Formats: sequence, structure tokens, C-alpha cells
Amino acid sequence: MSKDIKNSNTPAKAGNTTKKDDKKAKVQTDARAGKLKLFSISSFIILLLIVLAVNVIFGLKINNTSIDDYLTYDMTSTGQNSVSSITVNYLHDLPADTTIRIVGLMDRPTNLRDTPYEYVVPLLDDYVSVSEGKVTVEYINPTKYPSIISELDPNGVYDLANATGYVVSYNGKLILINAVDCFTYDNEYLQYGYYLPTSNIVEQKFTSAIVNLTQGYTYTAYFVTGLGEGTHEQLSNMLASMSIDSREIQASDSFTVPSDCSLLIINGINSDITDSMVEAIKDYLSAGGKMIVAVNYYNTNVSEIYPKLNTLLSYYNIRINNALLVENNPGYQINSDSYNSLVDVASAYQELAGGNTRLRSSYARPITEADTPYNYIQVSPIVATSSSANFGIYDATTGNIIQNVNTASFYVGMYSTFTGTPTPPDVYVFGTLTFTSDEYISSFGFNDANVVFTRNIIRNMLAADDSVFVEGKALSDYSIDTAKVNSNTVTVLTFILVAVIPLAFVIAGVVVYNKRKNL
Amino acid sequence: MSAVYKRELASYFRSPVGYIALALFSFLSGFVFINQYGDGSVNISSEIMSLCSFFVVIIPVITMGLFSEDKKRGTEVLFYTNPVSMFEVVLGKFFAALTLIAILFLNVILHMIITAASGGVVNIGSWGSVIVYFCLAILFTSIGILASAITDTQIISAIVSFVIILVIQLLQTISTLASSAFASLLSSSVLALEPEKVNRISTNIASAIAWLSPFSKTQDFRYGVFSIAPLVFCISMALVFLFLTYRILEKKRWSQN
Repeated sequence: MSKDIKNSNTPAKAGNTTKKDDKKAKVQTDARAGKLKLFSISSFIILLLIVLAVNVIFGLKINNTSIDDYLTYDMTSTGQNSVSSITVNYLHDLPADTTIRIVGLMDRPTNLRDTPYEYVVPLLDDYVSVSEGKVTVEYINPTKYPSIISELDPNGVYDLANATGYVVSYNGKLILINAVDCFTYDNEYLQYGYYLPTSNIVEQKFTSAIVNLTQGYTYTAYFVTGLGEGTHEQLSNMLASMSIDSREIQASDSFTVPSDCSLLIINGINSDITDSMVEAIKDYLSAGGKMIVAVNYYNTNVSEIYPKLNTLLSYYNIRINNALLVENNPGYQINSDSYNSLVDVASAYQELAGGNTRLRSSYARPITEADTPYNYIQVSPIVATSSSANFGIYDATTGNIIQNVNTASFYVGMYSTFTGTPTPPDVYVFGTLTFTSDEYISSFGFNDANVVFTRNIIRNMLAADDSVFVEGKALSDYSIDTAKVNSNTVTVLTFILVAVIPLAFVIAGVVVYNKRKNL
Repeated sequence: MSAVYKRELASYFRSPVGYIALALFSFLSGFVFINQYGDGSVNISSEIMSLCSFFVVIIPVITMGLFSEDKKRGTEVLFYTNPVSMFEVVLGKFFAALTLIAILFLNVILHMIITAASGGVVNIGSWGSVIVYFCLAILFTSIGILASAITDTQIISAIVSFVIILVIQLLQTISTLASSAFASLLSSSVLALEPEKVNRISTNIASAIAWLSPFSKTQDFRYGVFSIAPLVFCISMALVFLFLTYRILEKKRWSQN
């Protein structure tokens, strides 16, 4: 280049060049400019192509995995956006030719901010990364590609045309998962129509779906419905993660327990069972059936004494009493509330409670023995109040709880079985819903000691495999400490951050401008 | 390069530009922060991502005068006559602008301190958002410098960079619109392609446009998911814009126009 410059300057230095020389110099200058222009454009294009190529290579998928997938790290302490080793190990152990297809029935969500998809989309991407090609994730909008519906569900069993969310598909079997169902929500807020997520169970939902599709359900649990009970969605989630399918069975006068019933759950009923149910359930339990009963003492059932349910339970020497337990020991009360309290776990059950010696109880009924005089019935307490508790009964005329003056320790949960029979029943009865209700599980999540206890009880009863159970992941709580912040603090900070600091910079700018404008 | 850097950084505070940027940014960040703080819940990631969307205004203000002012005053000739590489000049100005953007970010650091002192959470997602902030700042500043290099009027420079950054911010929306437009075109009676084929083509077009969006590439950072590829994308694209700026400035050495 320096040679070219020298050459191009030569005619100018000479000062007395001929027209021929001028023309020659101009040609040389044009050639040099042309070369530099070419160099300039080509160097830019080459750089652009290199940059594009590098970026494309990062995202290029080979066997459903890209370099970017390997260079992505979930730095959250709870692993919100990456699958746990439980899932990784399960996927690793699946045969190499396994193909699990996850299809989002939508365009891939792009604006994840403050939507349920912010925890779903990155996690599903991680499933693909760790699955060694066994899991694929696609987003196919059925309005654009109507054929996806018949492709996934040729027989139209699942009504995918009206479905939203994700379809997990394996060998023609499907499980539908909706993104909003991948969280537990605070029940207090739910009552006011607000969805305040308390934990993220995205991985739990998808991994259990994969496990249940690849292994099949091992057991079937039946929820008795039609007796004013609450929902059982969260408990069903927990059961699904243990390969237990959940179904419902309607209370009626012609009630029968299905032959495939592995576990019967009477959860949170507000009215009594029927006579035919007593007989049907008794027959079911006689054949080695398993049952969990949970009721509490609350507004909707204070006048319900469950005579038929107690008739059924009396065969197992257990009775649910129509009273409200009142905990008087401040050391057991939760937030100084005598109706919400801790209960002691019997030593035989502490292992199932994950080593916890106390669990939560709320608006509980006392559970007692029914004085059925048969030695083959083995009854044992599970959880009990402190020795300072008493009980009260709701007085409908005054609206008050009339308390018994005598204090003692009361059982809140009992277990019954038979000895000397080849097919003994397993009956768990709780006088509170803090082990089984959606409200409780939603509010406290799947890692809560009560919920872990329930899971362990079910696992024990059914010998269910919950080795692929993925715990819920606690979500970040961005609340600030209200004890440290009051309205004055907010006012002062507003004044400083929105007015004082910006104004100070504006004034500084004006001063500088005035001082330097004439320079 | 350091001489250019020092001179440019100092010039921000010898003129009202630096102070206007600081005032604007501190007001916007303070407003976003106090809105959350007043509600009793502060997510620093949300604040930072909101501030990133204000780059469309702030970056043009900061970069508009970097080269256009020199051109207007005729002082650009110094860059061609001094024994300094033009690329170093570009880098010096680029880093000076980036330093000012980092100074603006001190506002957010202050908010982080207030949040932590108030018992709030500054988690890994917040730091992920900090990375996104600087990645986008690098990319948009390089665009601002390019805009400043192609004109000798600050206002035009600001408008050009404003438009380019705005288009980049709207790439997601543009991709959706383009997808619909192509779907309509391809399914029209002239071409009459099969619906599934039309959808596949329009989806691929939308994906290709969305692929260029740095916002969608970096959005997982705020959830604590860190990835190398988005950083490479932002920095490499910034390098392309800086190189293009350099080539445009170098053009004066050989251009006969």
C-alpha cells in the first residue's frame, strides 16, 4: 500500500507532469481505490459470514442437542430450570431407542416474562439436553397444523382439539399437562381469585408423566366423590408421581368398589356415606383393601357426626368424634392459634415423617378407639395433641365453641389393621385435612413434612415405587420485609430516587452548560 | 486508544449529554424501582429488563455525537493525521460510551443495596439480568456508533440508531407479522400452496427473523439460566457493527467522493 501511495504522490510532487502522466496517475489512483474498496467490502462480508456461521453452529441441533445446550448452566440454587439427577438417571436407564415426544399445542412462547411458561420452556429444553435423544420437545400450533391432533391422537380419545398446554406422548399413549397446573398455589389468595404460586412442580409433572407412560401405572387409587368434598388435584399429582393412577368413584346407594382399586380415599367429605357404601367398603377392606379417611371440623361440617362412616370404622375399632380439638399449650399452637397447632408424631411413625417429631394439624376432630372388643384388631395412634388440649363443640345458637374443661392428649390420626388374617386391611384415619387436602398441599408444597408423611404412608401401604419422585421447587419470594419498610420509607425513597437524584443531574448539566457554552 | 477513551469520557461530563443521560436513567430506574418497592415486592431482574427497553432512547442520546460531532467541527481530521489506528479510535469511543452506561447502572446497584437492606432478594436471576444489560448495551452502543459514523448531524445519528434499536426490540412482533403476511401471500390464489406447507414456510420465516432478536436469546438469564451462545451473539454482532464503523471511517482515506 505504501508503494501505491508513493506512486500516486509522485506526479503531484513533480508539479510539471504531462497530461499522459496525469492520466496514468489517475488510473493508478482509481485502481488503488478500487482495490481498497473491494478489500473493505470483502473483509466486512467475510467477518459477517464468520460471525453468522459461529452463531448458527452454536444453535445447530445434532441428535436434538446443540452446542448451546451443553454451554447452558442453571445457576439457581433450587435448580428451577434444569432437570434433577432423578430425572436424568431415569432417562439414562431407558432403552436407547425410546422416543418420548413432548408437543406444546401452541407456538413456542417467546415472551416468557411473568408467565407460567418462564419455568416450563427452559426446563423442557433441558429435558432435551439431558435425555440422550430420548425426549423431543416441539411446539406445534393446532390452528396452523390441524393434522397434529390426529397425528397424536388418531382415535380421538383425548379431545386434543379443545386441549391447551403440552402433550407427552409415548407409544401411542398420551398424558396432557397444562402449564398452569405445574405449580402449587397459595390457597388464601386463591379464595380471592389470585393465583400466587408457592412452588414449581413442572419437573414433577413431566417426569411422572414420562415414568407413567414408559412404565405404566402400577396401582389405581379411587377418590370417593359426591359427598361435598374438596378437590384432590394435588394429591392426584403426588399419586401420579408414584405411578398410582387416580380415578373417582361416586357415592351412591349402589356403591361398589372397583376390582382394580388399590387404595380408597375418603378425603374431606362434608356429608356421610351411604349404607351400601359401608358394606361395599367393608367387603373391600376384608379382602386386604387399603383406605385413607380424612375429615376435619370446620364451618361446612360442624353438625355432621358421620354415623355411617363411624359404623364402617367401628369394624376397625376407630371412631371420628364430632368435636373440635383446642390446643392450649402455646408451645404447640401455630401463630398463637389454638385451632391450628402442632401434633406429636408417634415414635413408630417418625421415620415416615422424615424424622420429624411434630406435624401440623388444623381444625381437627379427635380420633378415638371405638371400643370394638376384638383382639385381632390392632389400633395404633399416629399423631396426638399435647396433654394440654381439650375439645369444644360448636353451638349453633350462640355461634361459639363450647369447650370441655378437662385437658388431655387427643389423637388426631390412627391406624388400624388385623392380625391373624392373610389379607389384613390397612386403614388410616385422620381428624384433620392437613395431610391430604389440596388447600394444604397447595399452600405448603410437596416438600412439607405433612405431605412427605402422607406420601410415605401411601408408599408403605402399596409398596409403591417413588424413587422417581421429584420434589417441588420453592419459588423465589421477592417480598421485602414489612417490618423494615413503612409508608414513610417509601415516601422518602420516592422523593430521593425519582426527584432529588435526577434533578441533581439536571442542575449539574445546566451548570456545566452555562460555564462551557462560550468556550 | 486510552487517549481517545479519556477524551470522550471526559467530554460527556464537559457537556450536558452525560448529565442528561444520568438524569433520564436515574428517573426511569427510580420510577420502575419505587413502583415495585411501594408494592412490597422487588424483583431486580424485572427492573433491569424494563430498563433495557429504555435503551432505545438512552443509547442514541449517548452515542449520537461520538463521530458526527467531530465531523461537524472538522476535528475528525485529527484521527486521520495522528499516528493512531482508526479501529483504536472506534474502540476508544465505544468503551467511553460503555463506561457511561456502566455509570448509569450505579443507580441499579443503589436499588440492589436498598432491596437487600429492606430484606428483599437479590438472587442469581438479578445477576443474570446484569449480564443481559451489559450485553445489550455492548450491542446497541456499537449500533449507535455506526449511526454516528455515517452522518455529520447528531439528530440524524440519533434517529438512525433509535430506529435500528427499535426494530431490534420489535423483532419478535415483526416475526409474527411477517409470518402472517407470508402465510397470506403463499396461500393466496396465485400460489395456492397447501395449508401445512404454507404454515411451515411462514413459521420458518418467523423463526429466522426471531433468531436475530437479542432479547429472546438472553431472556433466560433473568431466570438464572446462563448460556454462552447469547453472549457470543451479542458480542460478535457488536464486533460486526464496530468493524463496519471502522471500514466506513477508513473509507475517507481512499474514497474519491
